[in-house]
Amino acid sequence: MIDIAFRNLWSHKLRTVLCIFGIIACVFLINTVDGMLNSLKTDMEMNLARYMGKITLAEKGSSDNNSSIKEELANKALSLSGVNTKESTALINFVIVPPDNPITSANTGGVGITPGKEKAIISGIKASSGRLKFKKDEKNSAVFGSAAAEDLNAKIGKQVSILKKKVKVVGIMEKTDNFNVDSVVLVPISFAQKVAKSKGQVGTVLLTVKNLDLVTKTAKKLEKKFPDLDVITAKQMKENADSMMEMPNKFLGMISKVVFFVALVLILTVMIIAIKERTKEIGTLRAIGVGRRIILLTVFYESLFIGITGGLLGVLVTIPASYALDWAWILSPQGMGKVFILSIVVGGLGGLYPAWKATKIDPLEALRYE
Amino acid sequence: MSKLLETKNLGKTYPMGEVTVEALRGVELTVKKGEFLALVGPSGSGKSSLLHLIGLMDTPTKGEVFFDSQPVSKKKDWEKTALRLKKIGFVFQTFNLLPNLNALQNVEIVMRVAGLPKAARRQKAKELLDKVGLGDRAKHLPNQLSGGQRQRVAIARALANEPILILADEPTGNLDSVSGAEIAKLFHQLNEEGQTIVLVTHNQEIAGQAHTVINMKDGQLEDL
Repeated sequence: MIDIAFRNLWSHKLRTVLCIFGIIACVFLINTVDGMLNSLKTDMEMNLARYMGKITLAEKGSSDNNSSIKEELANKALSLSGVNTKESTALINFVIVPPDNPITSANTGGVGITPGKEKAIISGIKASSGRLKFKKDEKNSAVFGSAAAEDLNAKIGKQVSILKKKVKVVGIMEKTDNFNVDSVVLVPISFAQKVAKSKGQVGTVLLTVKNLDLVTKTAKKLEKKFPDLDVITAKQMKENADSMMEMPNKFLGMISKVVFFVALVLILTVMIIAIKERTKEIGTLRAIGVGRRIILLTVFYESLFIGITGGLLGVLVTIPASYALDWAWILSPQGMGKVFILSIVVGGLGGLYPAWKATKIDPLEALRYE
Repeated sequence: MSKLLETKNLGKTYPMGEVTVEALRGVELTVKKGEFLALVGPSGSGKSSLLHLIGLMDTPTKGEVFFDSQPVSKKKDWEKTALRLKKIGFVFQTFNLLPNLNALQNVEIVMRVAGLPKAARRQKAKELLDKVGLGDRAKHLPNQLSGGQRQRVAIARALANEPILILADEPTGNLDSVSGAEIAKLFHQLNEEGQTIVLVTHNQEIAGQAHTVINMKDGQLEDL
């Protein structure tokens, strides 16, 4: 009876198409919201992974970009026992190209580090060209992440302007799967101090401990020694990140749920109206001997078709739309698959009640004269 | 002629607000195989209620309907549905064709539900449309057909599963006199071929074709 279901939908083309449009809009919204949330989470997890076994010292109550610590305090912390000095450095974070939207990190971010301590930031990353290490006395050089190099048109040996100050490109990193690494520009800390106009000051201190067991012990030591600074371990970072993500998680999750509900109500309404309109027709079918099961399936197929078509088109629309809106980074096959399945569920659930209602139509309805 | 249908002490009451309306009061009706029976009577006399009960679309408040001597009115819904599909053909006053299906598909649908293979049911539907004189209108949708043509499609549909009984509720009620006469002729022809027919009508011409005309009054039968 699938063909009959199609004919029923086709006989109300406008209503069917509008309902499908509604589902497409809902699918697009769920896809976008879920995609954003997931990429935020992945982003955060990847960053946290880089900070395993590391301790950050920052100005009390500040964030990475506005923390400011006296250089001499930083040096004291760096010389503490238990600290792997080769992979520990004072840092200055600064924004080169601001983010497109308020929920993501900078499109391109600068990090000033002590020359020779590059490993603290980019351990395990290879150079696609040039070198990833600064010479000891280098001042106006820069190492680019792959995306940052592309955005700022950086080529080995060429000069690039960063916040109106020229630097020489000495190295470009290989592409990684972490956008925060790809979008970074490493510069010597003295250059960052000039750009950030913070002579004698650094932003944060990133300490790598000699082995993982020492993290808690060293953190406690630091807390004692620098009571005016925040001592942040990877564990605390995760806790901070989790509490930061709690609101977006709740809020975006709620939007997804509400949109799912709206899609369900939409299909339900359209199908209930359709059944109401076809009362006499369904009554006739019952009168001439068509069983309840066939009536149920026909209505169910109609609703399922709307759900499947809306879901499929919704996913297909999300792809070009995300590129057009410049947030293609939210797209993931799993995410789109999930939303497609969700739209089938919406079609199925939205059809259950109207289909059941249709089976309850009395054959005598066929004989009511209008 | 042997008995095809029988009702015994058939009664039906409907609640209407706070009062109970007695639509049928102990109706005893017998329809023989091959009979053409017309039920006539004023509005509210219980003709349609009786037709609903013998058509297994409604359940009596008392009494019983027998089909081939088998009691049927208390059967389960799915059993009644199957009986309506295979044993009874319905013709309605308002034709009741499915608006999205063409004439051929409207005739085919009952055979399809009954499980007839596609080729066989298509062939049979064509033959039936030819029989009612609409072979050339097979691909037309109901709204492309006149009232008389629609009713002929409905009759073809009623015949599709070779029912033992045709029930018609005012089949000419929505037709002009010319079309009404054509339908009356068609019923007569079907009866000549051995089809048992019970119909409710106000149309003297169609009632005139019947072997038996039964007048109904106040929910009871009166032989004419």
